[in-house]
Amino acid sequence: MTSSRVLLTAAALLAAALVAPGCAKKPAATTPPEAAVPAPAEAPAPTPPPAKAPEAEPFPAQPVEKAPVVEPTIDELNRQGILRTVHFAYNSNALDDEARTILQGNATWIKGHAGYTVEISGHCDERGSIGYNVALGDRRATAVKDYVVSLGASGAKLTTVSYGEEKPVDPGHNEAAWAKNRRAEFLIKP
Amino acid sequence: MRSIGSTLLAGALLAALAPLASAADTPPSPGGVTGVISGSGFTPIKIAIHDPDADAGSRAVSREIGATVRADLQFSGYFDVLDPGIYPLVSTSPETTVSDKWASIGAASLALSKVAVTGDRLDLRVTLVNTSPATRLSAQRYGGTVDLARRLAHQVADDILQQLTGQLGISSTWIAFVSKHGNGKEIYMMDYDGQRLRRITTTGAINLMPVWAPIGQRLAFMSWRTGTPSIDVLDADGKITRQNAAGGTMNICPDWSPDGRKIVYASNAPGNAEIYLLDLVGGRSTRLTNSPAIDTSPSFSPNGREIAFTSDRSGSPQIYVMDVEGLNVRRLTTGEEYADAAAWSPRGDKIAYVSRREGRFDIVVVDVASGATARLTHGEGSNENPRWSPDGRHLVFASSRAGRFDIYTMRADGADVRRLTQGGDCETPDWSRRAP
Repeated sequence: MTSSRVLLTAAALLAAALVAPGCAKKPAATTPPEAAVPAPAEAPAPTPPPAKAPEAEPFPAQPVEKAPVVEPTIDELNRQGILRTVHFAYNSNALDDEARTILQGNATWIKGHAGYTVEISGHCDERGSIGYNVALGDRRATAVKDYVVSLGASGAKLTTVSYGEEKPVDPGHNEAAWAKNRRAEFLIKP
Repeated sequence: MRSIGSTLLAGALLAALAPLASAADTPPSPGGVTGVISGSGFTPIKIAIHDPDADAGSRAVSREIGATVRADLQFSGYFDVLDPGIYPLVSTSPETTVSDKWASIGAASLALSKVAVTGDRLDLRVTLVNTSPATRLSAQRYGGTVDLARRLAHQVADDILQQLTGQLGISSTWIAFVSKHGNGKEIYMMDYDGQRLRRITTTGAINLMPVWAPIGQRLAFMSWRTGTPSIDVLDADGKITRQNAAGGTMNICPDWSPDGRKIVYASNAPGNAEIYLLDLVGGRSTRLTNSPAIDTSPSFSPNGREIAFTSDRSGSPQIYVMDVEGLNVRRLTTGEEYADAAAWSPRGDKIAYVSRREGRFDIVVVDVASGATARLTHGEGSNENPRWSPDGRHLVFASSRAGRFDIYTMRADGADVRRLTQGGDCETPDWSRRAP
């Protein structure tokens, strides 16, 4: 009881001294305003409050709703394409040098964020037959997963799914479209 | 005793028939498949089908019934259905006289009928007559609600066909397929002639490759509705049941055994695509193939003893055959860059498949015993997913020849191509067995 009253009194005193030198400390004390003036001598002159210096938090220019150290949401990560798509040659599930480089980057992120589940989807262009293309897409997704696991990522958090030729990114009927559609994509899952 | 005019007319009809007759006698070039009628020298039966006699209120129904029966019999390939335009040349007095007159314009058979509509019921009586010698072959009565007029007509056509050829018709069969709907692909069905088209699933997901069960109105298909492609069965009441497949993240391309007790399919349970056989009674799957290749797209033989499938174990997808235990694997296709989608004919002697050249597909039929092939399509767009009619005389397939994929039928020799859908984005059709 008493110690908290003392603290409160001290805080009120300091606040009063900082903000309004002319304010009385407490209603009970009938000290004239001038008597409160010496108290501010302990504290700096009534200039604008100094900036506090918490660990690495910049002085907020406006109110913020969350602390910047929070991770981006899964939706944001997926939208940013933090895990990049790899592409394949016609009829093939082989990973070329460019694909391997991309997958090395993806593997680094996955290893550093081991709490996330990641789904690898395999896709084909429209030139194969519908049935075989589902199996080829699966082979592509599996090849990608196997490579990423060989780089040290945990297979337990990596799933695969094939969409065959059913989800093209480009509906065109030309080489450029087909090349875009032969791919494996990464999707971070909740 | 024919008049000159009638002889010319009959002659013209006969001439029109000639290509059909020779197709049955000798292999048409460039194909080699005599798929229309087996046996020697079949001549289509000339038949006249009246619109049923009807009162004023039933004329529309009468026309629909007449047109449907004529179209069904013409489609079957067993008949030359005489053009109704010449029917006014003969009178419709009592049967024996009529028979003589119809015979004079070449009609071997004649169907006379009468339809009456009362409220929402229709009553149809059909008399089948042989014209020369004049014999009444059958008299049959059909009844049902007016909205089923087409269905009754299909039954009439099948009955006439059975009466005159001894064969079972396909006029009451259906075709199931998938088409884009919203963000997915749903299953649709229609009569074999493209009529009464309707959507039968609402999953919101991608579904492919519906296949009709041998018995009952059920379809097995592959679906992404729960995330990874899996095998589902749609029942006549609209209920969808997930099948207990081998495991893994990919279970695809189902086909029914002829007795309806098993489903053969492909699964990646062991890490790569292999063929499995699911016993529907016990709920367990048996693995049939064992190779690091992709093994997929299985098709049961009609005797239930063999399975055709696709494997890329030689480096590219090719058609193989094995027995139902997975033994005796042998390669069927040679000289193909890429072959898939084997479909075993209900007659057992041929397998249809797709063959890729320059990024598009043509449909090829291979004789299982001899290995001889016949290419049925020749570069008209891409032609995929062939499946047989239950009598093995026709194929249904998807073709992009008109721009986007639609469903088509053709005779087993590649002739008489007919387009069934107009909407585009229609794929993976299957032809039902005969309705129970």
